[in-house]
Order: sequence, then structure tokens, then C-alpha cells
Amino acid sequence: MSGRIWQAVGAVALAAALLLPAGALGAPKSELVVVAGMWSPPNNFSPINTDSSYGYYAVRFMFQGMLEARLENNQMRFFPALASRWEVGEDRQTFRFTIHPRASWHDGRPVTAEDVQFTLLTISDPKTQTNRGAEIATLAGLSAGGKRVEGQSLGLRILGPKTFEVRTKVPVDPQMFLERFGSNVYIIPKHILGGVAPEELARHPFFLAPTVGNGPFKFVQYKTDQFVEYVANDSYHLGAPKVRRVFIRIIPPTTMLAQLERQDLDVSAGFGIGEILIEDWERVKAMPHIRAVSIRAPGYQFMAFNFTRSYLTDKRVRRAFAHAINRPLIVNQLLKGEAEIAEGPIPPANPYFNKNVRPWAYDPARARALLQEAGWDPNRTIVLRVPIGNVLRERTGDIIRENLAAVGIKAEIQKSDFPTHLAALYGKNYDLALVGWAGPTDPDVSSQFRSGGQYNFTHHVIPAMDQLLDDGVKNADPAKRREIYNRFQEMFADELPYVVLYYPNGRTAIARRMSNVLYDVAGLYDFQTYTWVAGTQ
Amino acid sequence: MTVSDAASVSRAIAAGRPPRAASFWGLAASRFLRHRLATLGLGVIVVTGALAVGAPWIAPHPPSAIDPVAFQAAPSPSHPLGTDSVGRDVLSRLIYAGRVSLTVGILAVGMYVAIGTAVGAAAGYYGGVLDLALSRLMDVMLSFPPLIIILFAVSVFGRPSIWNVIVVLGLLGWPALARLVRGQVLALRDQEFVLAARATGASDARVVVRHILPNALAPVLVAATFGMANAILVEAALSFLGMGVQPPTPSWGNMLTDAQSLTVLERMPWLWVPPGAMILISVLSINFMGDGLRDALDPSLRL
Repeated sequence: MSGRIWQAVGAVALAAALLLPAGALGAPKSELVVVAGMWSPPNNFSPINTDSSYGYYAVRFMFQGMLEARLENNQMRFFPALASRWEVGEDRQTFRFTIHPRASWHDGRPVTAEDVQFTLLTISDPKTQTNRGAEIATLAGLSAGGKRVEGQSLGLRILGPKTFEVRTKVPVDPQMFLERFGSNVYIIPKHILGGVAPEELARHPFFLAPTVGNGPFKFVQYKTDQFVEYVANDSYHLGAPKVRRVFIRIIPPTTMLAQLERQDLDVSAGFGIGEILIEDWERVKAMPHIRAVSIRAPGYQFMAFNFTRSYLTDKRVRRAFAHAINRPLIVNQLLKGEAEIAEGPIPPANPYFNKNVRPWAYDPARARALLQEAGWDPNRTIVLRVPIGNVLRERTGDIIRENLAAVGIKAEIQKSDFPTHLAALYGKNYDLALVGWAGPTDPDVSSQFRSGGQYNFTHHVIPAMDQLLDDGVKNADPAKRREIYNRFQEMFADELPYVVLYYPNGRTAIARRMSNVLYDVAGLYDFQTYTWVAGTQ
Repeated sequence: MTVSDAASVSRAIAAGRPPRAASFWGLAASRFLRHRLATLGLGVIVVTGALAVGAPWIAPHPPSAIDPVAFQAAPSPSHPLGTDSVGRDVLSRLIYAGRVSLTVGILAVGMYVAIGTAVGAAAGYYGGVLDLALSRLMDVMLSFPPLIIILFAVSVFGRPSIWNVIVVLGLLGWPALARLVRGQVLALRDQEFVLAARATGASDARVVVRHILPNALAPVLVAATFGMANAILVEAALSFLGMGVQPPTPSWGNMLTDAQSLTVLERMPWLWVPPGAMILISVLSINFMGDGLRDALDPSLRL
């Protein structure tokens, strides 16, 4: 009796295993199947509202914007995606896009200027939940948050079924505009979502199974917390993808390493969402079938000062912290040299980086002198808040505490989960806090460093800095902007709202059988995925 | 005066000696010492305790001192158990970490034994509505998933710290013990010596504290020992998750956080074997002690 039950169970299990698509679990031996590894699952597939880099990585296989952007030799370059042509007006205020004649939705309907209009109207509707607002906020008729302003019309003109023109409020840097509007705004289908009320959109089932996209791959299924499956879109307007199927597996770093070793994985998703742990880096580099790629990534880790604490307002005190923290040790030992030190929020790999701003040297004696000069009370104990999750960052906290103790600053580490940590930052309930940013490609960092900015965690108010940041956004001339941001970086190193700890390199793995997988400076692999080629193993 | 004492007193009186209250405990001690594993366990805990107390003199390095040229270094003469991921001496941290584990074990269990005994005794002695209410409260508390509640409580109580862990464990651990005490008290409260004490006009508090509880002590002691092992495990789990003892204070649990990569697990055993082994050894030792205590204090084995 029980034997029969077990037979039945076995049969069901076998049947279930056979139903799983190839590549979902086993090795991707085929030339046609590619498997990517990512640490966490997306919470939905909304091209305008998914929660994180994880979500947008998954979205970009299925949905595209007008362009794809890529940083080459410190210069942002743009490539066609949905748009085949784009023209920048001489006024640096009007931008004309022509959608590729064969660009179509996965159900065969053409992608039109009306879809673009629908997407922009949806994002800018105050009732829509979206995180794309900042990408379109420069457009005429919109507020600083990218929402429609009463009595003004959206700066968009439809010139033909596949042609449209957008207008910005003031002249802008074309590079910045093409990056934000061109490559970060993914177009959604009007014929599917047109009838949905904006406030209902966030809960619409389409965003859990977006079967009608416009990108090189079509959605097949998402097994919650396990994998996302895509199949090639043979009618993709820039050419049918050479890879038939793509899987994104959701796996922790340890599993990722084991699967890379077993040749079960072709790419790790990239910067911040699927990297190689520093401990495992040497090992991955030694794998003969893997190309280990390390790039200068745009993200950085920093220690924020709470400017509302009277004892942290003196900039000599903040500079003393910068001198006290042994950043070379952190980079050379903790990160095994896979990082860079810079004294500002604009990445060394960014065209706007100011080479003349040198990081403050590790100099405990200088730190002690500055503290004494500023009258630091050696009996004061301050709180260093450290969020749980990023193991390297947690270890950095331990080193910083020892470094501070060595110059006579008593710091107590307080760990918490990330939401609690963020609440403490917004609530001014900290002295020092460790956080990280995925740095920008455009140098506009107003949201972090302008007084009252959305992410001004330090709660600092520095009018001269506000002025520079405002000038930087308003100015449309790249040479002028460079000058402005050079001055901003000098001011940053002087004022030090943050001690920027390090810019970690992006460390990822690509199977040698894969070609045309370009590791972008944005740190993600998904540039022109339709050109990916997978060889045999 | 207790049942066992009463017996030994009568024997002592018959032999013309003054009564010796320690004889029951003396017998128990000799039975305990005959239990090999229990003695071994006691020995290990005593050594660990001595190391923890004497840590500043015994440990080769300060526990949070960073060796700038040795991060994740293999064992060597200057670092006998190697260094951790930020260049701190593993052996020194291991020795200091014993302080945390033993403190949490002893204080948390002490706290919930006190609460559990008081609640259990009140419920068992007075019975009635009070018993009903307290028993249902125990049932409710016992049906919570413990680790989830503890994680929640630790994060709600402000900043995580060793004292937080102790208080939360102390406040949440008592129901099982209270139930045990209640059962004991229920069985004892109608015994003749209790009735005799009551007949002489002793107050409720005196009857419970002087006559009933000493007789219920053995199972409480055994439960407390096992409870200590459990508290050490919970502390390790919380610290591993970052919600327990805060860095740079070492604890066996937070030392294990280093072991979250395959390379460390496979190629750097000095980062995780020592703290893991210490958790295993100390918990096993305490459990052996508990076994020995149970056997030594079991009334049915009394000669």
C-alpha cells in the first residue's frame, strides 16, 4: 500500500520535473539557452514602477526605450532601440525621435508615437505610482517630480504615426536628456493598458506577466523567487536574437559560485544585483571556462554625517574623520584592491570627474590635531549606524570604529535592517551612517546634496552648493557644466557631507562560450541582448 | 523543612548527630560526579568560564585590534587560529566571545527562572481563576514561534545589544518553566508537610517559599540547565543575523557571519570552525550537565 503511494509520488515528481523547461534547473548545455544569475527577485515587471535594479534588469529584456546608452572611453554614446533616428534641436530644447518602422509589440501591433504619448501621460499623471518621474522631469508642462502641472500641457507633439517631438522647459545638456528620457523611459502598450485607471495600474495583473512587450525577448513565465523565463522575439525589428531562451535564476552568491563552477550559469547579472563576492574573486578568475570581468563601476559607499548634530557642523571635525579612516587599508585588504578612493560623489569613471580633487590622506596625527583645534570632546560617544545586508559594508564599519578610536573618537556601532536604517536617516536619528549609492552617469546630484533634496540624508544646507547644483542642471553647455561640476567637487571635498569610502569595482563573470556580452559601465549586461551569441561548452 | 530533609533529620537524630541539611545535595553531587559525561561537561564549562573571566590576561591580542597586514590570514605563530575578515585575531575573539555566551545563558535563564517560578507557584498554589488565567497566558505564549517573536522584540526594543537579548529571552522564556513549576506545586500543595505548615499558621508566602519550592527545585534546575544551552544557541543565531551582540564585541554567533561565502567555507576553515565548534561544545557540555543533574536529582533513584 505505502509502496504504491511512493510510486505515485515518484511519478508525480517525475512528471513535474519533465514539465520544467530546460535550463530552469540543469546545465545550459545548449547554444540556444542562456542562464543569468541574480541575487533577489523582482517584485513585479512594471516598466514604470518595478521596485529595484533587479526589476529593471528583468524588464529590459522585454521592454525598451527610444535608445540604448553606453559609456565608451568616458563618453556616453547612444544606439538605436525603439527609435531609429533622433535629432537634437539647435535650441537644445526640442528633440525629435523617429520610431523604427518595424518596431512592434509582441502581439504584432506596431509601436507608435501614441504609445510614447500614453507612456508619458501615465508617468506624469499624479495618480500613477511610478519611479520614472525624475527621468522625464525636464519636459515642459511637468513639475520637478515629473508630474503634470495644472493648466499646462505636456511638451510632446505627435508628428506622424511613428514620429514625435518632445520639448524641455529650458535648454538642457543633450547628453543628459538622451540618457534620461531616451534610455531610461520604457514604453508601455496603449492598446493593452489604455483603459486602465492610473491609480489601478500598480496592481494590474499585466505587470506580473507582461506578455506584450516591445523588446528582443518575450516573457514566458516567472516562477516566484526561482526564475524568469524569456523566449526570443523573432520579429524584433533590429534582428531576431541569436539566443533562443534566456533564464534569470534568482540565486544567492554562494549558489552562484557553485553554479559557475559547474558550468550551469552563463552570466552573473552585474553590478549590485549579481556580482562575485570578493572572497570568491580569485577562484572565479581561475576558472578556465569563465571570463572574470572587473570594471570601474559607478557606485560608491560612504559615511554620512548628520549636520543637525551641533558637534558635527564644524568642517574641521568632518575632515578629521576623513583623515582618521584608513581608506587605503579598506581598499587594499578588505576589497583586495578591487576598488578606488575618491573624495566625491562623481565617479572616477565619469566624464565629469575632477582629477584635481585628491582624497584626504590617511593621517591620524592630522586628524587628532584637527579635532583638538575644533574642540572635540573626547568623552563624547557617537553612534555609527550600519545597515545589515552588505557584508563588506558591515566589515567596513568595524574598521572605521577602530580607526576612530585610534584618534580619540568613541563610536558605537548600531546595526539594523535597511528600512529601519533609512528611517533613521530621514528622521535625523544618527550621528554617522554607512550607505551606498549607485552613482549617476549624469553629474546632477541635486537630490542628494541640494538643501531639501529628496535624498539629502545629511540634512545639510550649504547655499553656495545649492547655487552650483542649480546652475549645473540649468546649463545646457557641456563645457560650462564641466566647469560648474569641477567647482562642485572641490566644494564637496572641502565641506564633506560624506566621507566617500570607496568606489568598488563591478566584479562579474561571463562564460567564455558567450560572445557579444558587453559589460556596460552601468554595470549590467543587458546592452543589446539581441546580439548575444552562445557557443558550445 | 522538606520531605528529604525530614528523612535525613530523623536518621540523623537516630544516630545522635545534629541534622545535616546538605546530605541530599551531597548524595546528588556524588551521583553527578559518577556520571562521566556530566563531569566532562562541567569541566568544559568551568574552563570556558575561566577563560572568559580571564580573557584580558589570556587572549594574545585585544579582541578588536586590526592587523593591517593580515586579513583572513591562515593560522600562524602570531595568530594561532588565524585572523578574520577585518584582520582581527580569531583566538582572542573566541576567548572573549565566551563572555557573551555565558552571560546571556546565565542571566537570561536566571531571569526567566525567577519569573517562571513565581508565576507557576502562584498558579499552582492558588488554583481557581488565577490558575486558569495564568495557564491560558502560558498556552498563548508557548504557541508563538519563538525566534520570530524574539527577532521582532529585539528590533522593537530600540538598538540591539546583549542586554536586549537577555531581557527578551528572559521575558519570553518563562512559560514552559512556569508550567513545570505549576505541576510540581499542584502535586505538593496537599502533602501532609504542607498542611502541617499551614496548620501552624505560616503565611502563603512562607509555605510556598520555605516548604513547597525547595521540593520543586530539582526539575527547575534541570530545566534551567537545558534552557541555558538553548539561550546560547538563540544568542548565536541573533548575533549571526546581526540583531544580537553589536560589533566589535565578539560573540560566537557574529564570528560566524564571516562564513557566508563558498570560498570561506571551503578554503578558510579557521574563520568558522572555531566559533562553530565552541557553540557545539558548550551546548553539548551543558546538555550533558543537564542529563547528569536530572539523574542525580531524580527522586526515584534516591537511596
